[in-house]
Amino acid sequence: MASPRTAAFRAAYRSQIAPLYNGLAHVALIYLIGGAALWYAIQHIHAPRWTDWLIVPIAAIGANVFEWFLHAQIMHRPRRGFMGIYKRHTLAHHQFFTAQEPFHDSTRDFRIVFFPPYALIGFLVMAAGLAWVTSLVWSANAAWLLVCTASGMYLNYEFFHWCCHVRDDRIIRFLPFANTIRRHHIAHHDTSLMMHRNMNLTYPFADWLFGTSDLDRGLLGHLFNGYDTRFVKTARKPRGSVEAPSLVPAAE
Amino acid sequence: MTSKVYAGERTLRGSLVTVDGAPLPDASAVRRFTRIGFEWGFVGPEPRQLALALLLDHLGDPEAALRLCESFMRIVVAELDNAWRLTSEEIEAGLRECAAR
Ligand SMILES: [Zn+2]
Ligand SMILES: [Zn+2]
Repeated sequence: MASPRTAAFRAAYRSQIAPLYNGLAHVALIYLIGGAALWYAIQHIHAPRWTDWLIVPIAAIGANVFEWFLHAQIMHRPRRGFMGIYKRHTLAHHQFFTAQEPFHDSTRDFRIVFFPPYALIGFLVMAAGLAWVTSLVWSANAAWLLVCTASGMYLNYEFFHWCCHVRDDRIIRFLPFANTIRRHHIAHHDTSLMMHRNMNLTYPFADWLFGTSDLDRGLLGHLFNGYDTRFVKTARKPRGSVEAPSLVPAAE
Repeated sequence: MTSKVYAGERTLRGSLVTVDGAPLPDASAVRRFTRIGFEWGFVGPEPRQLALALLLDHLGDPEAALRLCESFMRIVVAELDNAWRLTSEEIEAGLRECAAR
């Protein structure tokens, strides 16, 4: 059950969601834009050589490290010029969802689960820039495959993050990778871990690589860990913890 | 010395820190490490500003606050929970830990 503090935050956050907001339309728009980018890029791939396909694992690993970096260094650190992202994530998403109450209640809560659609457009613009460079130094096919991988990874990110915050896990608990990231990300919502650990949202590769995972096991163990808690490291106890009603109103 | 209660909370309006229910002054007259405000739970300029402000209020001595704020940030402020509360006695205990290391 949500603590009084989380309950107060949720009530305040929900009160400022626009009445016209529709969670399903929000998700549909993201998948429409991402799906269109994927479809458009696929149309431009013609008889790729096997060397062109090498861009796919490279781009997937790059996206994984980028997702880790963005989460650890922008979403969880106040940086000038990026405060909107910090506020939306550390000051809102993590106050709304805690390890004790990580689940959304209705599709209106999608407002705080999914990124705004313009984040995807920004990501696609960055991918297009990288694709342009790839077309100059590698090949046009490799460039379009890069756009496909980037769009696919983004949609993967959004789907897996939703898998972490949906209450019903009757299917997800048996889905490889999705079950792993669900335990991994819910643990990240523990207030003693949130600023330092479990920064991946798709596959915990970069967390394993950079030693920021809460698990003590190898790469394959990380990727296929599922709900297993046997390898969880003992976490430090944070100082001054309170679980009290909010001292100040969460929103104006 | 009368005991005070310092508290920090993350809200949609930003990260807020109070002393006995009133906003904690940011101690920027002593040293400004950041223009963003207070933060905690990691090592950086915002937690450093908070360490300085807490120590300035607690000790009332700008020079001592500035001298001790780096180790107090690393040992206490970087380890604070998402929402936290510290009494004057706990700040004193934190300072003793800093001196012991
Ligand atoms: Zn989350
Ligand atoms: Zn986070």
